Amino acid sequence: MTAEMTEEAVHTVERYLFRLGVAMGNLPASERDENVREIRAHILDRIKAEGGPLAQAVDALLQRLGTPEQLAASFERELSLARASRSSSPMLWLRTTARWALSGIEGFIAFWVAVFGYSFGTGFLLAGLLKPLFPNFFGLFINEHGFSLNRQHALGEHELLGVYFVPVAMCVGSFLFVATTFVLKWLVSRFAIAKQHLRQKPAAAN
Amino acid sequence: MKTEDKAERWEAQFRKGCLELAILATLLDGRLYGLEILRKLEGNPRMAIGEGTVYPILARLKSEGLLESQWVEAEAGHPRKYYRLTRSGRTRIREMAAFWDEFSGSLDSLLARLQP
Repeated sequence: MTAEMTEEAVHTVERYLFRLGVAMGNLPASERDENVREIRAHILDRIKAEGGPLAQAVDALLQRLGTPEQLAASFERELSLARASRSSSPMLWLRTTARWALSGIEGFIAFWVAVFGYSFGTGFLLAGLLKPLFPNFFGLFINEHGFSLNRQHALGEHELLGVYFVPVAMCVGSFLFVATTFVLKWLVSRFAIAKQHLRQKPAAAN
Repeated sequence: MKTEDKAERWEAQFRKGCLELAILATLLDGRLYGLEILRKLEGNPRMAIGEGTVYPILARLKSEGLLESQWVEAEAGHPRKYYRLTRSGRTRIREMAAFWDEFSGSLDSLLARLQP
């Protein structure tokens, strides 16, 4: 009953799975392996069901799955937003929202929230860290144009907070990071439609 | 010709949107593995989907916590990955079904004018 696969067919399947694994390089190893394992089970089940040990049958079957690169891309697309929405990594958020930005206005907004939120956060943290090293250069300075985190040598400039700038800047910086991530998570959950967009982009491109 | 193209694209988009609901619905009676889900969907000609589409969607539904999976050794000689609805998956499908009912109801009443 069980159809013996020809050597050529085995090769074709193994080559397909190998390319699939390589193409999913951006996913964590455990997810990648699990996806490859699942597709392997699918192929073996299909071959068994259709009794097609012939090379052509295997080719046709693999064609229905798409190229390994296409399949890998749709795994990555489906998983990237879901993964980011659980994560607090700014780098992951910047990458994900940059991709999301191409698919519509919500993504565009999310991307700028990420860029502004994380850069201001970084600015405060850096100024707070550098204040003890360059006390005269970093701090909270007020002048006629507004406030700045370093000395501008502008007219009417004076410093606020003094040495207390360090703990305040650290708190504000950390708060900006947490708040940005919070807003991004909210945007992802609120605009589920945007997720849909992301998923459908390649279909529209075809 | 052009209208036909547009209609086809609309149909593809629409089907994709409903796919998530359809996949969750196939699991209402218990656990299934990917190919069984595909076969259930293939049973309805309008539901047929690309084989490469279903696995990535399953992976996402799982990472969103709507499904859970388990590898089970089979007599086939290789293990299969079975999916099952989680509690939040069941909640989600109930919400989606309620939305679908309301939505299709309103659409039906709008389309009623088409009847001769």
